[in-house]
Amino acid sequence: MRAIIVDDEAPARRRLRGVLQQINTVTRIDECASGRDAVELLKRGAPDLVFLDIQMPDLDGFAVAAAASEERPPAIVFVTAYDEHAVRAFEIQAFDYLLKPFDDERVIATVKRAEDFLEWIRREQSGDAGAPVMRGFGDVTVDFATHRVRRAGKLAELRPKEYALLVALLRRGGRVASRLELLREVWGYAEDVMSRTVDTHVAMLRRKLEHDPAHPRHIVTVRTFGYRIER
Amino acid sequence: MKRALIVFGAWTAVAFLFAIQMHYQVVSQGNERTWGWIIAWQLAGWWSWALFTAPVCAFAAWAVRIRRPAALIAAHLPMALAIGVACAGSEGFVKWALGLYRTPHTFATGITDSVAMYWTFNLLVYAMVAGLYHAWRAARLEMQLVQARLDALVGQLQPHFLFNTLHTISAFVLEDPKQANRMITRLSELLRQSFNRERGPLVTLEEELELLDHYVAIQEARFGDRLRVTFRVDPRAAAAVVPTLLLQPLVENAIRYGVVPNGGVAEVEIAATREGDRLHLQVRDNGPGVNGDKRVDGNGAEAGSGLGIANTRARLQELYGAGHRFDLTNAPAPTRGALATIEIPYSDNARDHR
Repeated sequence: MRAIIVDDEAPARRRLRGVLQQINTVTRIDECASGRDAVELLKRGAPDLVFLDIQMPDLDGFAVAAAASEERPPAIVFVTAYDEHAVRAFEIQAFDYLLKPFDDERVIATVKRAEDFLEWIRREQSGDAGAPVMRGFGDVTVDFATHRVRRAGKLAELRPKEYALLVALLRRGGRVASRLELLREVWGYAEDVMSRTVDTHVAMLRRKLEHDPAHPRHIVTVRTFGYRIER
Repeated sequence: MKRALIVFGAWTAVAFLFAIQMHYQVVSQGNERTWGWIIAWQLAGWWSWALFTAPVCAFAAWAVRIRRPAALIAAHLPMALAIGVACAGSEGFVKWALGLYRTPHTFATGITDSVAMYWTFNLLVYAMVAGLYHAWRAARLEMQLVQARLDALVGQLQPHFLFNTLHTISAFVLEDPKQANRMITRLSELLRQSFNRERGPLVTLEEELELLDHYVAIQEARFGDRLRVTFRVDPRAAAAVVPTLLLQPLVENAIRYGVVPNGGVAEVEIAATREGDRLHLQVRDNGPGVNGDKRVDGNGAEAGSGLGIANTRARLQELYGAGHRFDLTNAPAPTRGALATIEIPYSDNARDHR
């Protein structure tokens, strides 16, 4: 994977480079010190992963993200000291949101999930006949052809809405889905008056598919925003 | 306009309270007056006070510069007499003009009778109005100072500055542990001084520059070769008393807008000089400069002047009034960038300012 680091502070770029160098699937790392250079590099470099600082003096991270290719979208990870932009970041389909300072494990986990996500959406986009009909996490497998969900080989009984919710989450390949998005997609509501509905169905899914529903490892809550699947 | 309506409404309420009292007084003395006459009688008096409230407040506003209580009262006394008599006179005139007197009165006796009857009472009313004004102003001033201090501390400790610094330290921990240690020391010193409750609203320039030095060292570590900060301080200015955290928001802005990422080096210069009884402070950068009161960002768009700047302006106004100057302009050609200039009276004694 090709990664770009965009940050106006050199030590901050070195910090992230240091972590990415430990991951052998990251084959190339480019750095930019400004938003404008980043836009340039996004066009030329066709990156897979973009780590974006938000507060930069020329173009902010959101302006840079808007310049990303739509045909071959990279996984965009915002890296910032501000926690107040997270909702906006996920609304523009950011893959993740890292708060400075971070530890190595957090970055490595993000890159692993991004790998998964990129593979998934690129297959979807190419309309590849070999697109997987099976998908899952942990010991759970989902067969999209037969709508069957198995856990450790045993059939799990899911109600239709629960199945639809699970598919909606899986289709994002590890990217976060907001409650509102899920509500629109699964229930077709246009308003978020019933966002509790999503939470109760997620709770049901966890009870059926997680080992320890109180401490879910695969159907993860993203605070104040929504949910995502972790493999 | 709103203020005038409040004043007018308050005096009308007073007039009605006195009307009730007058009604029972008249009844207890076996006399008879209509409510209409009583209310007109009271309004003639209290609406006169509504007119005279503005001059009383204007005088009290001027008189706040008198610091000693005895001198303040002495200054108010002749004013109280003048306004008390004038107000009673205008009340008498209205009563005569409307024919409210029950006995025959000429224009002259209408006024003189009223003055004789009310001038002492009006001294009390004057004292109440002036006293209320002084109390209101003192409360407002206190609130503004507390707010300014809070803003300054909050500005100093903006969480993103703290987190960005911790992130930089985390980058240095492995590659340059000595530098990481230096940054931790600087940050601790900065936090220690910010948390110091004994650090009042005023400090010496030397203390302010010491804090700034820690702040700048941290920023230099973050931006490396792309930031160069120089201090040019006249030793005769070091003991000057300045509002705490006066320069920090200016330097923060200079760095923020000066570090333009097109390869150049941001240069920030902090200068302090003393000329006689004036203290001159300057923060200059080589960034894109300002447009009016607004900073210009890397795209040439207006970027706002920031909370820190508004706070600095408000505090200077509160502490020095017309005795200060604060400008945010473009540096004179051929240099470019923004230039913040502050000029305040030189003082090396904190007691000169409250």
